[in-house]
Amino acid sequence: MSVTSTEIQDIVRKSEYSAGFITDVQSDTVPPGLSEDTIRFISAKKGEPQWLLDWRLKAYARFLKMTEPKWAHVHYAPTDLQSISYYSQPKSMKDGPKSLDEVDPKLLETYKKLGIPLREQEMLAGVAVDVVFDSVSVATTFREKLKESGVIFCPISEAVREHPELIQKYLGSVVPQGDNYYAALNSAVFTDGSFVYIPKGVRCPMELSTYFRINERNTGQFERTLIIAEEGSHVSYLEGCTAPQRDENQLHAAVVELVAMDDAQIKYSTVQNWYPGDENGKGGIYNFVTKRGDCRGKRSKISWTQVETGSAITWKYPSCILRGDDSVGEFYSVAVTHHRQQADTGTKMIHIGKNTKSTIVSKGIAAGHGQQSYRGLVRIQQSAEGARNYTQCDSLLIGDTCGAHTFPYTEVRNPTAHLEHEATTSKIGEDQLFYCLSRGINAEDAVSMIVNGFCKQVFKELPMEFAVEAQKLLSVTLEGAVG
Amino acid sequence: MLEIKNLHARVEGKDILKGINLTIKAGEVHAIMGPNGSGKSTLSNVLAGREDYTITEGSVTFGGKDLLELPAEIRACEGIFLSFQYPVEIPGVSNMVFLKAAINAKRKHLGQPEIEAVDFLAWVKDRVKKMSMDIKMLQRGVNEGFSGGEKKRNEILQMLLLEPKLMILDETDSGLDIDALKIVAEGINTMRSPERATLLVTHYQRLLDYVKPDFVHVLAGGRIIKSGGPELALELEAKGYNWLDAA
Amino acid sequence: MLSNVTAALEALPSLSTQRRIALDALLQFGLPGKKEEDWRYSNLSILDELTASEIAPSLQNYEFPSAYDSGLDALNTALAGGTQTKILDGGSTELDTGLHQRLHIKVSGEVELSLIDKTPSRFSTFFAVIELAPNARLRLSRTQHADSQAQRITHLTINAARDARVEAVTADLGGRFVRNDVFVNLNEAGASVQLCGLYAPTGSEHVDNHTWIHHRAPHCQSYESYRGVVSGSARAVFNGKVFVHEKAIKTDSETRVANLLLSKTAEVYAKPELEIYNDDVKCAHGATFGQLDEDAVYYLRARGLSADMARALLTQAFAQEIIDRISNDDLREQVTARFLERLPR
Repeated sequence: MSVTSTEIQDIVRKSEYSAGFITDVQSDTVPPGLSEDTIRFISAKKGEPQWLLDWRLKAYARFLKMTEPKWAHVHYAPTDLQSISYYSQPKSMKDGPKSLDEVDPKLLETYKKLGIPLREQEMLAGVAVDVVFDSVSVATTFREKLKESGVIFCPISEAVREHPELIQKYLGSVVPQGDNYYAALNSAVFTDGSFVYIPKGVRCPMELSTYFRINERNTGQFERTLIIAEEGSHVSYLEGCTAPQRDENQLHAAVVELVAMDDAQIKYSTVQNWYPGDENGKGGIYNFVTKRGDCRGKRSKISWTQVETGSAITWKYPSCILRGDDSVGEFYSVAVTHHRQQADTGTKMIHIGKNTKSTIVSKGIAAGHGQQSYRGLVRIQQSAEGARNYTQCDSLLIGDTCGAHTFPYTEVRNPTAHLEHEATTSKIGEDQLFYCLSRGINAEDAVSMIVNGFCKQVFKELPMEFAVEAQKLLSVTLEGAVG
Repeated sequence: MLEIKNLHARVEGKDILKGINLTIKAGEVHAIMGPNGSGKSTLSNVLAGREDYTITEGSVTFGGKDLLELPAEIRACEGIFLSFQYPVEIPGVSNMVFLKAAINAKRKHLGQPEIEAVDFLAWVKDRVKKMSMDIKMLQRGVNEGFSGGEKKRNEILQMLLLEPKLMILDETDSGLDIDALKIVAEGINTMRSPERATLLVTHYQRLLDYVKPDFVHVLAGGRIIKSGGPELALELEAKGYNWLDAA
Repeated sequence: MLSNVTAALEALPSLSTQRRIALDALLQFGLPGKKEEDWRYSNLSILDELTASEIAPSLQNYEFPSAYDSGLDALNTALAGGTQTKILDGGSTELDTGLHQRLHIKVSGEVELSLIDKTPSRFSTFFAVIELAPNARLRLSRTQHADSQAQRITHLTINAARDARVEAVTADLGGRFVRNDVFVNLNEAGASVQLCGLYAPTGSEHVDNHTWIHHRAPHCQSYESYRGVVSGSARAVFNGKVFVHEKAIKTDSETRVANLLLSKTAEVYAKPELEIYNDDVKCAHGATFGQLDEDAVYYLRARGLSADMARALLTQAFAQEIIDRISNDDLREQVTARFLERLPR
């Protein structure tokens, strides 16, 4: 029995990006193009109230006056926003399935392939999932169970209908419409995403998770996530992303807003594995995302953990506004760029309240022709008596054609502030590699082992299942990086 | 088992080894002694497969195979073990994970199935005890924050678990107090068997009080200038290396 | 904007064609604005506050370039009247940064060069390109304690050839608006630089140090350490960028910046940056903001010092780390004294 070359290619391709398949479903996709009409179409499709349409149109007006940001350390062919389709939904979703039994089996199969079974009995106990396929949410699990404790977890389009007062109050309150070019675009055209509301004093009984998938060609994904944690509540939220392998670049411009009131805690974890493009830089997702958490309440805490292994271009700065006294912000990040991937990522910690604390741990890994930048801002406002920040920012270089860069801004306007920033950049240790080799471990495994060790501080912040997944992704991303 | 013929090696444009000839048979213990800078560590590293060295002349065969052709990890799987003079710290990678990966790499190479988790743990626990180490140390990163003595013990522990055919011990006695030295020596001695060979590389004969060599060689200026039995080590200890220059 | 500069130049007894070209280049380029990353925290519109007579261009004319790189380059050329060339092949030399000057300095052998702000002018621009021959060693100090109205712009480009070494120390202890740019190019193998600076603005002073260290060849080393003691409503900016080019293997580089803020209205903006395009490097940087060690203050008080004195002593110790690197004894003592004068009582 012989293996054909296509089969071999398939195997090779699979090992590189196993989420790269395409689901063959009939989709309703609007023709490409961005205009007020596109926005009216999306709004009508979603059956939105007038106020939301007006809000979108206002954002669009702002957007038209803005220009694409150029300051990031990334280079890419400009995106043609007119060539993207802003709305795509699987045909079978037309009427909105009432239960999983009504969901197109092809979609269920897609998620099974990606390792995300949606049937509750098949799922990891204790994780509720919302699944967004192109522009629509296809399923949200464990809703009934969550409802018992008062937790709302649903597609944001549904929240607009069911909980308009919450949406009106919080939408755009953390990331204003005109915050930046992509946030403005998202505000105008966002299609779906997750909404989470944790009532006062409730500790969310399970992990919440959203899984984003771009499937359709020439579409962009513009999701919007809003999480509100009322006084004394706790929630841990996970987000995962994949897309098929396609030659063109697809745009993903999401906005995530978090609000934490007094004593509330939000932990937000991301494993981002959008299609990174091939080794020559063809294709791949442009991941231009605005994520911000507002620690509005006293002693509130927002913690971001991200593992960024995918995307051709990443432009992402999950941030915390530490408004409440004694509030805490954290950012733990692993970003890997291999082949022609470029990432410009980091965080902003804005200290406003007294005795606010922030911790930043960033681990960047560049291999091949990958370019990796940490860009961070720690600002201590005059009002932030006793603020503390600790930043550690390490880069690891694998091969002599990659690049790693560090741009940490610190702005201090209060004499009681205490900040420590440490950064190192070095190549993967030859001594460490040789030591592993001399114990019989091959170069590939040795690199993956050393890199995982390098990232451990971040991985330990992830929920267990995600940590395992993240480690695997890291190894796969770095395949062929040495020797 | 190991046959080194006219081995010349160079690092950063400098010739370090200038024609080493040495044959080691299974069951034998050889000690290589010599002053600092004589090329002892270079020899250990060349045998283990470190790539910073260029072999300019000569050959090395191990169990009939051309050793110089093999990459470092294959040499390890084939049964060569180097106990490092300066064991490397690998932050974040726990000793347990590391050991298991190394053992399974070797088993895979030999066409054996991966080791069962339970067996592995029991086995490790047993050997850890032998080395008078605390099992908790194995949860920490590889050599991370270990003292000099702990690192050396950890090397021997790895050796006990990997069961190599040829053990190369590069200055294993340096930085050890007498108690640690005894434990390390005992570790080495338990591994001595008719199927295994040992190459002790050392500046002092201290370790040789506990691990008795069959042959002693003096390395100076990149060559073996004198070979003899265990008595040669004692002579060196008494007279120092300068005596050889005069001889 | 810049009408005062034009007026100052036109008021010269004679305005040479070359100077006129420099002025035209300035007007064409304009000066960098707040939108430019390197001028994010320092606003050059403050130059508008100067009267034509305060701008005081040099009366001499020297060599003029055939083209200009930037508005600032043209501004300095026009005000300094072109470039003077100096050859230093040993010994000590002192130059005045209180005057508009534009210099091309060639250094070989062992040279001590002191750049001192002597002339009490309201405004000066001091630009120099310093070329180090192979194996040259330069000990450079630049100190200024200009008055609280003074505006100073200095711009040093240091090019180091094979195995050349630069040890530079700067101290900024005055001036209303001070901007110092230092570009170091480690052009050939084995070149090294140690770049240290102290800034201690008080009142409403503004001092901005921007440094760029380019590793362009293998086996080069750089060490950079800046310390700031900022009081009153002063504002300090530090931006230190280390750039490791593709071919610069075996680069060893470290940047440190530490700050003490002594008042509620002081502001510090610090950014140590790394941009690295090859993997055979060891680079680190660190930035800290903090307070004096209160245990140490207590310890000194327990030995009989007043709290103020204890703080002054510890603050001095913090700054001394930089000051002690000044090789010239007299200058070092002067800088220490001026520094202590600036501490709040």
